[in-house]
Amino acid sequence: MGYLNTKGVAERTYDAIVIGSGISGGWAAKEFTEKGLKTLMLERGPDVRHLKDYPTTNMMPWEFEHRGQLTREIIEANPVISKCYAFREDAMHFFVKDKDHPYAQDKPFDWIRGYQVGGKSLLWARQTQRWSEFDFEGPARDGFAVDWPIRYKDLAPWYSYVEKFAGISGNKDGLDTLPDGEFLPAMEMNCVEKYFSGKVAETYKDRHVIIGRAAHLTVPQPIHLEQGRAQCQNRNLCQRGCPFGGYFSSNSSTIPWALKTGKLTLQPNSVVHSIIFDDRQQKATGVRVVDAVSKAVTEYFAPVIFVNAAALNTNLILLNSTSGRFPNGLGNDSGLLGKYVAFHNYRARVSAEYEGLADSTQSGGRRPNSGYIPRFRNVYKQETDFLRGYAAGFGGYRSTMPAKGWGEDLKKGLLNPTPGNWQVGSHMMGETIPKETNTVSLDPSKKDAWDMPLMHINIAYDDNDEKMVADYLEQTSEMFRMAGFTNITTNDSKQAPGLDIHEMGGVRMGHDPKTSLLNKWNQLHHCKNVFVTDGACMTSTSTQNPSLTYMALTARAVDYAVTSMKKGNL
Amino acid sequence: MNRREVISHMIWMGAGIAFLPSCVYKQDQVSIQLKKIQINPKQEKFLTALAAAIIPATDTPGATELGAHLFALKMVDDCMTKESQDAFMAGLKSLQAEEPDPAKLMTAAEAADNKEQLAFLKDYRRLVVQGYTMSEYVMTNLLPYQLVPGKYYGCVPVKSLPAKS
Repeated sequence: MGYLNTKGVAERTYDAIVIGSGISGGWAAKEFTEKGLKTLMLERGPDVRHLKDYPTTNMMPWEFEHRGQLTREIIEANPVISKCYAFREDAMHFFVKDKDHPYAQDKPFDWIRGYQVGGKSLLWARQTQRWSEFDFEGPARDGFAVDWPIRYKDLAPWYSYVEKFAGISGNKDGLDTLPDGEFLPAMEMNCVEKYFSGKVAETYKDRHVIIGRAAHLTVPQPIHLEQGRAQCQNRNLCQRGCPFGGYFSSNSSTIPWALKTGKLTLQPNSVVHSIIFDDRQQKATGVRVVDAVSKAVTEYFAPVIFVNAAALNTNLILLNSTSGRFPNGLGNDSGLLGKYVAFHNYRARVSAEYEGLADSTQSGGRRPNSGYIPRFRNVYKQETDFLRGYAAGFGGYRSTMPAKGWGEDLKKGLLNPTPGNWQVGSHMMGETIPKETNTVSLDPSKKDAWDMPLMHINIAYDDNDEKMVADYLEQTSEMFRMAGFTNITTNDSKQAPGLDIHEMGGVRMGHDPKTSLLNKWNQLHHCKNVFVTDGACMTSTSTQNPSLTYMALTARAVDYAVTSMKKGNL
Repeated sequence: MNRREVISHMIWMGAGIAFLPSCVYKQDQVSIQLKKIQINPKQEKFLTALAAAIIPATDTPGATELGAHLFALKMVDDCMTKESQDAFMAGLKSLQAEEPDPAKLMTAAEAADNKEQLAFLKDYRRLVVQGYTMSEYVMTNLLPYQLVPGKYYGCVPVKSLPAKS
């Protein structure tokens, strides 16, 4: 490695370093800089500036050479990333291509990555459901993983804190399985969704169909206007980057906010190789960074380091941060670093149609959201032969009849679309049980162009997941039949883990340093000035889309870190 | 506006040439650059006539005026699997001397259960329809696409609109 420390140590020293600029890194940078700390944010990919670097955002459908579709050449060159629903002609530039960053699939795992400033916060599905007490107490009650060192009450004020700034739309549904938050007005359910919601409420006392809580500015508040963001326009082209800042991303919200303080140094093209641990001081002193372009190595220093590189890459950096004190990776006395990785089970779908409500339809905007069914299985007590349960998405739309025939008949049919039946669909979001055998690890010899070891991913479904898929298909079909839906079709895609893009764990939180890596403040038990607040910290996965929880954990951890620094405890 | 006027208007506006590559049309060449499949001028003539029969010009432009036949070829060339391309080309070759009447060709292919002809006719119909409905002209003038639609209405009565042809 050639070191190229052209600037002096003082110039490379900050009050805080944040590794990663995605949804949690953005929050860390915002919180540190607002509290007055001179912060360095390192991002391995190129810069993506809000409004300036969204090249496709205002393109019309006909301006895409293949009208959005992927070419055969791109699919063949990218067997993994081309499976992702959002990897299409309009947004493929925001995803990691297979050959640029290879990894070893010891078992099939579709690793979906976005290497740029903003990371996957540009591309996420924007669903923001809070965890409830039932989720945090899960591992302790059901005897898996380890007990979460926090409970809902610890995170509730921080959920409120991040919700107000990010802007979350939703209804106060009053469900104990999905606590209400600080909501902007909810998006509207359409006729068939309202109908189904009513039928389910009539039939099952513990099942609910609600509109998803989503990070969209339905009615922007002064705090959002101050960020330069405006009302969501229902374009549903979010993955291109939004010219209105209508949805929350690091690019539109936390990063410009942090830059405005004058305290943030945002440094793209900076691959973090490892965290430097000083054996004499017994703490981390900084990070080693490989320039993504020149490959030059530079060290940066700070008294506190936040690792927000996205779940698996956070594992990779910590595993690669070896020292005399930590020969197996930073903070890894327990030997559990990289183990108990879990994800969400997104395999199953049910679709159907509804012949009712024939004289009504939806119109106007393309709502970038859908319905949500919170977990109803095993909530209050164990009631099935599998552990935990699933949430589900639910959505409907009015189809149009296919235009028939040829010539002028066909043309008339195409230009005068007549409504067909309502089409409805649901997909499962199952909790998976973290297991010691679901791991990520480093290849002993193979390295990439940035001197980083090749990552091995060894993650699989288990019997619990199979039973849950079967139960979801059965229960959803039953609910659909009860609602009078017809042509009910069930599907188990058998997709590999990873495509859910909800990989979590490997650096889990817990009470005990022998069985966990992080304490209740997301601090490494054995290296207190290093914090992990992205998906890697998750002790269990529950069923909710996890980003909101990462945001809340991050804001809480920064608050704790800064308070500790002021007291001289870091 | 009558049909002839509409078409000449379209050509003036240049909307129909959105799909044409920069190469100049010559006698022995086709008007689109293709990488994988090979189309000769005779086949192109057939495909053009067939597209015009699938969606004809009326008081508004038809598929060929909007370049939908060339879009279809681009999609076959760039996006189809090798097997689908082979079936498409085999179907095309066996039909290229026929009269470009899609209804008649489809009926005959179905009666003969000719898999390649059926694949060709179904794929070509689908792609011509896509090229037409997703053309700038249709998405601007006939079924306007709203890039910034604004408000979403979840539940409204189905309205009957004046018929377009």
